[in-house]
Amino acid sequence: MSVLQEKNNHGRGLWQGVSGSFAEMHKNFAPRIERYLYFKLPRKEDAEDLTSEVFARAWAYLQIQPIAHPNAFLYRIARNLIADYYRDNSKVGQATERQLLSVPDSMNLSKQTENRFAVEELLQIIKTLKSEYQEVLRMRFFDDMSVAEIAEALGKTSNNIRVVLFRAKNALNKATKSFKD
Amino acid sequence: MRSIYKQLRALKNHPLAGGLSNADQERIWLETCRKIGRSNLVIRETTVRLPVWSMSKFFSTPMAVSVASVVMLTTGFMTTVSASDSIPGETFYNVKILTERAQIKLASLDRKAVLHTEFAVRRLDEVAKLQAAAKNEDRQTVNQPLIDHTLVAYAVQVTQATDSLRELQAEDAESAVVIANDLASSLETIAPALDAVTSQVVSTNSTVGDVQQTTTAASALITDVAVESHETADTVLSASEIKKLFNNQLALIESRYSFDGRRVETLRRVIKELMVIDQELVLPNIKELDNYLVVMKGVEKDIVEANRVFDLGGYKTAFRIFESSKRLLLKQEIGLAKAEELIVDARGLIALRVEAEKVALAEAEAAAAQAVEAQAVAEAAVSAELLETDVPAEAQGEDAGSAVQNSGLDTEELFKLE
Repeated sequence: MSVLQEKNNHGRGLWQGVSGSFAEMHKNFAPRIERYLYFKLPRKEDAEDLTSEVFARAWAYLQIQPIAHPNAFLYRIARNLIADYYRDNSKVGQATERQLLSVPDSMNLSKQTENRFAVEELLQIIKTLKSEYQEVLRMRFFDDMSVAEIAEALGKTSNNIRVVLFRAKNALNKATKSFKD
Repeated sequence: MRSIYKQLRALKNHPLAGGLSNADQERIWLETCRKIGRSNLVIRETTVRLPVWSMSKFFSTPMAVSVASVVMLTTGFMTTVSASDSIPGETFYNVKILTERAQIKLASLDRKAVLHTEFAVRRLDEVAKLQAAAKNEDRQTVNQPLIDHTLVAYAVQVTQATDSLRELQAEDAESAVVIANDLASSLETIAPALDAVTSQVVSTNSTVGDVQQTTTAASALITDVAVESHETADTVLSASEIKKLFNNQLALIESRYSFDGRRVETLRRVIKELMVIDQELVLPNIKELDNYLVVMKGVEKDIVEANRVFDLGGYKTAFRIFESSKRLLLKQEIGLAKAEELIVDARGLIALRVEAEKVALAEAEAAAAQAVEAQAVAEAAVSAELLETDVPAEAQGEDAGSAVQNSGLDTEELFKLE
């Protein structure tokens, strides 16, 4: 059970009719939903637009009934919206590929993080992995999600996620080694 | 390998890793609010807390409800009565909020919507009291944050009233129509109080706009719920209630329409009068007022159209037409209020001029009187001087004697007189 769920687990229902809690939910989940969309869509603007759409749909749903698992629920809406997005061929035609390598020097975090890889290199390495691995690694390291939360978000069991995460880490290890070579 | 994980974690807020800056997050939040159609302020309610309400989390717990019930039962009504008149910032205000929350918790669904509306009226009343208190104590500045937060509390109550109505709609459509009707009437009575209160708020933030937007949205939502509930229930009662709601709205718009018409006519007359007095005065544009009359013609047509559509069963469309007419009238009323302000200013200017003229006239009269007096004194002095220099002393004595003789008085009598 997430922190937010625990916070709102008293009373009649989770989130129901509690306007302020929606703001809290937005604050806590918007960054990870946006990131999830960011890596699935070609443009950042689309990711931001769909993030607000995810929450607007969640709000509409909340007017009818409470949401027991906001984490899983929001990711489900996001996945559906991604499917809708790619079904609309015209949008894909207009979309431009993000230029991951054209990073200004000021954005280079390698010095700040005291690591050997630059930001773009790391992202490039992750990009070489299977999309399933990329997803769990991002959720685990960028969003600080627990195995249970990742499992909930992706609609899989915790054991399954543990296995995928283990394989993803191994794949990342191999990819970094081959990148250095 | 661990260093790679560290690097990945360090990337979490990086834009290339999909990280959001605070500004990005705020933009997404506002866009979400726009899509939802709700005020940002209302949705954020719990993030805006006053120190006096710091126990608000406690108030919403079942324990708080029990405590409130016990307080009400054991201490009688004395505490609650004392608290009922309290305003934000006072000691008993917490008791007031606690009691309200307890009432809400214990109320049935249909009662909840009504209670929220009553509490919304209370919040407005509190804002008015805060403003009045500031005036009475002749403070230079009012407690703006407290007023803003109370206004937000009002907006929250209005939103919760509509939320309760939505819940009721899902459970009992027929009751929802009846309650929607009650809420619509309450909101109409709230409107003047809200205008009075918000007109005095000098707020640098968007509180007033948000609060007004919330009230307008609530009003539209209430009519939507009423129509949808009637379409679901479709009973004699719901039909009569929806007709009543329509008639109330119609009467309201008609009264505003005729009142605004009179305002325009009065303004036109006064402007013409003032222009005769002074053409240099800054006055409202008469052509603009003519435009208002055109708008009002449009509203008149809308009213006829709404009636026609309603009779054909297009309830939602009819109420939508009313909403659009209300918006037009509101826009026009804002313009009229500005025009009236200009008139007041112009009249004030004329009054000042008249006053100044009066003062100048009085001063001129006083100066003239002084001049006359001075002249008289000067003349008297001159004649006295002439007498002293031209006539010898003996002659003066003879003259005096002859004068006495001329006056017909005896010397003895003269002595007596002396």
